[in-house]
Amino acid sequence: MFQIECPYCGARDEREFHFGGEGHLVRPGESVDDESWAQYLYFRDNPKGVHFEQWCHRFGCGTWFNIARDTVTHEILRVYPITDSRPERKSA
Amino acid sequence: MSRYSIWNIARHAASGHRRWAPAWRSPEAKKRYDVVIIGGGGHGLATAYFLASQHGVTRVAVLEKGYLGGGNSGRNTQIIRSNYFYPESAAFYDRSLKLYERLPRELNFNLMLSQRGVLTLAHSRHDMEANRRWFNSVKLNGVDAKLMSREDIARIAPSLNLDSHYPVLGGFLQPRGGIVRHDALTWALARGADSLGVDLLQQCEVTGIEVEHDRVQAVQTTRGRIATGKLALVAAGHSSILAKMAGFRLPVTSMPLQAMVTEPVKPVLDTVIMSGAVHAYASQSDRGEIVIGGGADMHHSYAQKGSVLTYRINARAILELFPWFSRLKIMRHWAGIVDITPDTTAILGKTPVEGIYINCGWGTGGYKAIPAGGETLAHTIAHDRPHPLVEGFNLERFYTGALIDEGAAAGVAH
Amino acid sequence: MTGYRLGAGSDIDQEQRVHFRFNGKSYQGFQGDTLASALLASGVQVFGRSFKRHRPRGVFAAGVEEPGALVQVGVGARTTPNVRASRLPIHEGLEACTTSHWPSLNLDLARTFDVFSSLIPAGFYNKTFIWPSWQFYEYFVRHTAGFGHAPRAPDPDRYAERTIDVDTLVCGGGATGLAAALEQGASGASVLIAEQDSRFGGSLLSSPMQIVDQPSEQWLTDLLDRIDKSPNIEALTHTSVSGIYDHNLALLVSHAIAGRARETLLSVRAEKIIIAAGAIEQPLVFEHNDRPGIMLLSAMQSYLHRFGIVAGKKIVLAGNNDLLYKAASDFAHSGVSVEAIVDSRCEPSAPYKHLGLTVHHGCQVVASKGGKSLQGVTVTHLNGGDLATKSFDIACDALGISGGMAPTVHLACHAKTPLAYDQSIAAFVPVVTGGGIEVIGAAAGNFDLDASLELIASGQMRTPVATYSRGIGDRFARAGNTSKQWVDLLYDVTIADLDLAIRENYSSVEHMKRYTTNGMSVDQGKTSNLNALSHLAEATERTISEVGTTTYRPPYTPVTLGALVGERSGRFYAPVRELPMHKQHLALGASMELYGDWVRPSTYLKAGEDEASAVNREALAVRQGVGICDGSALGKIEVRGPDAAEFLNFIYLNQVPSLKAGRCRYGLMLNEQGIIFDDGVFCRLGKDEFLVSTTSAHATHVYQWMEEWLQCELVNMDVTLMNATESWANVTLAGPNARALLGRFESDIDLSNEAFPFMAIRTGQLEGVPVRILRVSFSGELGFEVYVPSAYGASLWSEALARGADLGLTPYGVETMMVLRIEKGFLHVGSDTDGQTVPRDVGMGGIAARKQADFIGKRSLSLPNNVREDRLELIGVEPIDPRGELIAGAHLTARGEQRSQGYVTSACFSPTLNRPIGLALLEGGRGRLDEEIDSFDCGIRRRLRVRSPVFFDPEGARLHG
Repeated sequence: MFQIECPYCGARDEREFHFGGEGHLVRPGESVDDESWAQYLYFRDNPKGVHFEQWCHRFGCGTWFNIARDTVTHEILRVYPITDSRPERKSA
Repeated sequence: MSRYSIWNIARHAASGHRRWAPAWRSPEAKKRYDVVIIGGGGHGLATAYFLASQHGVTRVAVLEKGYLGGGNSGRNTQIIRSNYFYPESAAFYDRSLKLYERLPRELNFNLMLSQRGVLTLAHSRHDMEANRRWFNSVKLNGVDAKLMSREDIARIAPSLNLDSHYPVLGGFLQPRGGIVRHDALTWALARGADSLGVDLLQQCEVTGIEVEHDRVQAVQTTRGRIATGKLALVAAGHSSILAKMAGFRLPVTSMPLQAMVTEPVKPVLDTVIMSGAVHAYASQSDRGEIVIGGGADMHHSYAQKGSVLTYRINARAILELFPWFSRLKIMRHWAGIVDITPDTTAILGKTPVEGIYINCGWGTGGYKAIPAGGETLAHTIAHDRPHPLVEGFNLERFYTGALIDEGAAAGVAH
Repeated sequence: MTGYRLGAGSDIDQEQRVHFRFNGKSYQGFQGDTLASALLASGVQVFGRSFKRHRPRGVFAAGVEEPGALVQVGVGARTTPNVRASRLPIHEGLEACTTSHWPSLNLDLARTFDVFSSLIPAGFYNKTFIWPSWQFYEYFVRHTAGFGHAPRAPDPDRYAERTIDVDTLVCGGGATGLAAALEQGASGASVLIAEQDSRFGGSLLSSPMQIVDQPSEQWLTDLLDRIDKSPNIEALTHTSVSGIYDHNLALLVSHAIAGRARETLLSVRAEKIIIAAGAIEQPLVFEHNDRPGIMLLSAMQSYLHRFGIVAGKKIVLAGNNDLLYKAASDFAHSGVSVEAIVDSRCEPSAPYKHLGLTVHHGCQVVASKGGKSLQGVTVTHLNGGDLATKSFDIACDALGISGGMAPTVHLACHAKTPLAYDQSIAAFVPVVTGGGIEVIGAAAGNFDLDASLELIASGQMRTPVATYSRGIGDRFARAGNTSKQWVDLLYDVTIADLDLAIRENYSSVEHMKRYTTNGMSVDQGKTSNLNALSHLAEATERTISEVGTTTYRPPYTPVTLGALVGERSGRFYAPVRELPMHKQHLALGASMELYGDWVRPSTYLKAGEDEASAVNREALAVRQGVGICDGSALGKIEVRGPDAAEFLNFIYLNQVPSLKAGRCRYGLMLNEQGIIFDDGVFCRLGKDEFLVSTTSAHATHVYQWMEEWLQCELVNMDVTLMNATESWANVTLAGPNARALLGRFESDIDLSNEAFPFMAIRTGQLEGVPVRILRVSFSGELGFEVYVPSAYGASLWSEALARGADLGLTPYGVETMMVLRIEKGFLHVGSDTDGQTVPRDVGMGGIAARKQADFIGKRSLSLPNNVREDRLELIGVEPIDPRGELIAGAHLTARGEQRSQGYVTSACFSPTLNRPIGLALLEGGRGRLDEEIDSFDCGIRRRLRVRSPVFFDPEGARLHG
C-alpha cells in the first residue's frame, strides 16, 4: 500500500485514493479520424520507469492531482496539481 | 528424449537415477534462426513447440531473459476453463482446453490435469440473470456447463458459506474446467520443443530490435545479435517495452496480479470456486495448499510485488466465502505483471512491422490460453496470416470499436 | 534422544505445573514451556512425519525455523493445523496431536513411501500417472498430501487490527535491536520494537555471555528497564514482522495485545525500518541427518538455558565453526558434559582446550545411526578435502549440529534490498542502499555482538560482516548415500534429488526449487535454501553469486487469514445502506433484500402470499389505484454554477441548455467509448441550478465520474457538484389516484395537470417541510416523486399510508417496480444494456445525431462497429404460447438455429396483460417486429414473437393524465 502525499491533505495511505491512469491526456476534438480517436481512447504510456499519472483523494478531499511515480521501485518522485503541465522526465 | 513412465523410473532407480537425460539442452545461440520468439513462458514455449510439431519449422529460438517459466507462467493460480460468453472466445478457449486434455500424453509429461470443475457463483437476482445469460451462452457455444442450485452447490462445496454477506443463490459449473500444474506445463513444453530441435536460450535478454523498411531484421541480445525474418513478441507484462523497441505502440498497461497460498492441509475444497461479487477465486492444490487469487492491483507496475491493500482485499473475499479457512495461514504471497487491454481480450496476430507477430494482453487470464495461444500464433507465423480462431483478436479492433469485452457482456471476472 | 529436565530454565516457572494432552496421552510441563520443551522433557522423540516419505521427525529447532515438529492443536472450531511445537506455549488442558500418518504416529503405513523412495525421486509426479490420466490417481495422492486439517466450522475467535505511524520500527528485540531502539529513541523519536519470541533478548536467552563486563542477563535487564522508562518506545513481544511492503509499510502480527482478539494485525508505517532479525543456524548435510535426536546446536542451547532441558544423556556436537566451542563451554557451566566435538576445520581451537573436550578436528559426521532414535554417529577424517578411508563411530543419543549462522535476510528481501554472498560466513548478507531500511547485527552478518553494540552506540547503523575467528568449514559430508542426505526435512528433499534436478537441467535456482520442492513448505526454506544453493553452485561449478538466490517472499512466518481480515467479515464485509424508511418497511412485513449496497423491500408479502402473487397484487394496485414506493436509493446530484448547463450538456447525450426551469428531461450518460453508462432524469431548478437523478446502483459512481471530468478536463468551468443522495428521502406515489392522495397534504404547490404537467419539477413546502416534487414515472402511471429531507421521510411515508387507505394505497417493492417498468418498456441500465450498448441500440440514436455540441462518447458513436446494421437492439418479446415461460438470461436464435442472436434481458409475468412479457437485445431487432424466433434456455427451446418493447399504454395517456 503506497503512501501518497495529497497536495491538500498530506501523506495518507493508498486506500484513501483512487488511481486514474495516465495523466496529461489531450482529448481530441470530434473531427479527428478513427485512428487518432482510438489512440486517445485506448493507447496509454506503459513505461518501465517514471510514469506520469493522476490520482484522486477520493476518501479525503476529493481532489484530483498528478504524480510522477517509478513503476519499478514505486517511489513517488513528485506530486503536482492536475492543471500543471507534465514535468520533464529528468526533473521528475 | 527419454520416455517418462513408471517403468522407466523403476529402471533408472536401479542405477540410482544417474542416467536421466537433461529435459532440455542449454545450447549456444546461433547467428540466425527462421523464427525467434521472445519470451520463454508458457505461450512462447507453446508457440515454439507447435511451430516445430505442426509446421515443421525447427530453426527456432526461444529467448528468455531469466529462466523458463519465470514470469506469469509460474505465478498464476493454475485455473483452466472455457466457459466464455462470446463465440470467438469460447471457440478459442475450448480449443485450449482440448489441447490441455491432449498434451499430457502428447508431451509424455504429467501436467497434473485435474478437471475437477470450475464453479461460478451468483449472489443476487441480478447475478442470477447474468449467470443464466452466460450459462446459456456457454451451452450454445457447445461448451459443457451445468446450472447449479444452492443445494447442488452445498453438496459439492461443503466448506463454502452460502449465507455470506452476498448470499449464494446459485451458479454454474463447467465440469471440464479445473487446474493444471503450472511448472509442469512449462517444463513439458520446453522438453517437447527442445526435442524437436528448438533452441531454448535462457539468460538471454533482448536489448534491441532491428527493423529496416518496416521489416524485422534481427534482435540484439545479451548473448549477441541474432538475425531472423520472423520475430514473435510473447513476453506478457513487458509487451509494451518490446513493442517500443520495434517502433509501435500497444493498448496495454502492465499491472500487478497477486496470488497467495495457505499451508497445505488435507482435502477441504474439491472444486475451483469463482465469485464475481467478491472478485476472488480459490482452489486447493494437490499438495493441499488453498490457492487464492483476485483482481489486479489498480496501478501500473513492473515490480512483481503486490500491494497490502489487494492482499488483504483478497483475503477478506476468500474468508467471506470460506469462514472455515480463518485459522489457515498464508504461507506465500506474490505477484506477476499482467498486461491488460481495454476489453480484457488478448491481442494475437500480426503487427504494423512486417515479420513481427505478437501475443499479449491476456490480462488476468493468460494461463488457460497457453496451448491455443501457442498453436494459433505458430499457425499465424507459419502462414503469415491469422489463424481463424484468433481473427477477432487483432489490433485493428481498437480502431473500429469491435471490442470483445467478456466482462462487459456477462459481468464476468476474467 | 532421551531428553530430560536438568533444572531451572529462564522461561519456566517450576512452581506451576501445566497438564496437557498429546496424541491422546496426558503429559505435564511447567508454566512457560512450549509444547516442544515439555515433550522433550518427557522423553518424547517423534513429533511428526515428513510430507513425502513419512519419515519420523523430531524437534529440530527452537524457533520459527522448525521444519519437523508440526502439530494440530485444539479441537472443534478452534482446531488449528500446522503449529510448530517449538512455538506453541502450553496451557492447562491443551490438546495437540500429530497428523500425516496412518494408523498412528509410531506405526505409519505410509512409511512404505520411504521404503520405495528410490522409486519416487524428484520429478516423480511429472514422469508418471500419465496413463490413463492424472485424475485416475489424484484422489489418493490428495488424501496422502497435506499436513493438518482445516476446522469444519467458522472461527469463533476474533481478530483485531491497529494502524500505527512511527519514526522507527525495529524488527527484532535481541541485543542489537533493543540497543538500536534506545539509541533511536534518545532523540525523542517514536520507536516500536517487535519481537516474535515470548521474551526480549534474542540469542542471549539461549546463549548467555558477558557484555561490557557484566553478565548478559544483567545487561538485558538494565536495557529493558531503560526502554520501559522511555515513553516514546513501545516494545512488543509475541509480535512477528510478517512483511515489509511499499513505502516502508510493515505488517505485524501480534499475540501480545491485550483484549479479546486472538491475533492483532498491525499496519506500521515507519520513517525508518531497522532490521535486527538475527540469524538462523544452518544444518549440516550427512546421511540420515533427519533422525530424531539431531537438532540445531542453537536449539540445544535454547532448550538448556530457557527450559532447563538437556537434549540427551550422551551429547555430540558437530559443525564447521566456532559456535561449537561456545556451546560446549555453556554446557560445561551447566554441568552437562559433551562426549565429543566434531569440527570439519583442521585448525585446532586453542581457547577451549581447558574444557577438557574431546575434539575431532578435520572430521565430519558422515552418517547417523539408530532407528527412530539416535544411537550414534559415524565420523570420518577429511584430508585436505578428501575423505580418509578410516572412519569411527561415536555413540550418542543427541547430536547438536551447526553449519554456521545465516543472517535472516527475508525482511530485507521484501524491501527489495539486494543480497550478496559472503564467503567468510558462507551466507547471504543484505546490501543496504538506503530508502529508509537499515540492517544491523547478526541480520547484517555481524556476529560479534560487542562490535555491533559499539557501532550502534556511535549512531552508526551499517555494520560490516564479522567473520568467525577461525573461518567456516564445510557443511556437506563428503561421503554417504546422497538419497539419504536431507536438505529439506519437511518436504523430504535430499542431495540426490538436487543432483537429479541438475542432471536434468533444472539447474536455475527457481527450477531446482520447484522441481524438487526444496524450501517450498511451511518453513519456506529457512534451514534448507542456503544448503540447496550451495550444493547447486558446487555441482554446477559456479559460485553462489553466479547461481543467485531465490526470492524470499512475504510473509516471513505464515499468517492466518483471520488476522489479515480482522473484523471486516460478515456484516462488516461491506457497508450496507439502509433507506430512511427502513423501519417502516420492516413494520409492513417487507422482504428486505440487498440491491447493490442498499437494503430495499423486494415485495411486501402478505400472509399466504408467495412473491409472484404479491408482485401481481402490488402491480395491479398501482395500475388501478395508487401505490407507494421508497425511491430514496435513487441518486441525487446537485449541479450549480454559471456553467452548470454547459457542463451537463457535455455529460449527457441529450440537449440540456434548452431545458426550461421547472422542467425535467430523461437522459442518457455515455462513457467515452459511447457505451450507455447511466440513465435518469435531470431537472432544471433555475438558470444555474440542476438536479440530476441517477440509478440507485450508480449514484456514487456518477458523482465521482462527473467530478473527474470537471477537475481533470473541463477545468475552466465554474460548476459545483454535490452528491445529495442521502440528504433527501423519496416517497414515490404512482397510480391514477396519486394526485388525489398528494392533494390531501397541505402544500403551496398546485398539483393540477395544467400547472404541474408531466416531466416538471416543483419546489415548495409540504405540511411545512421543504419539498421537491418531480412529476415523473417509472411505472407508466401518473406519478409523483416527493422529495423531503431524509429525516422527514418516515413521517411522510406513514402519513401517506394513513391518508391513502381509502384510495387503496398499496406499498410496492423493487420487484413490482420492475414488472411495471417492463410493461412500459422502460430501460433498466445494466439489465437491458450491456457493456457494448450504444444509444442507437435502445432507440436513442436520433437524439445523438441531432445534437450539435460535443459530449462524452460522441466521437465513438460513429466508429464503424457502432453503426453496424446487425447490432443488438432493444425490443420486446412474448411467448407464442401465453402459458409459456419466459426467462431473463435465455438466448435468442433464429428458428431452429444454434447461433445466438441476442438474449432476454428482463422478463416477468405481466398481471396487467395476464401473460409473460420481456425485453431483449436482438440482432437488428427493431426491423424484425412480429417475427417468430426461438428462445434457448438450459437446452429448452421456446417460440417467441418479437414485439415493440412498450407493452402497455403505448400512447402514454396515463402518464399525462
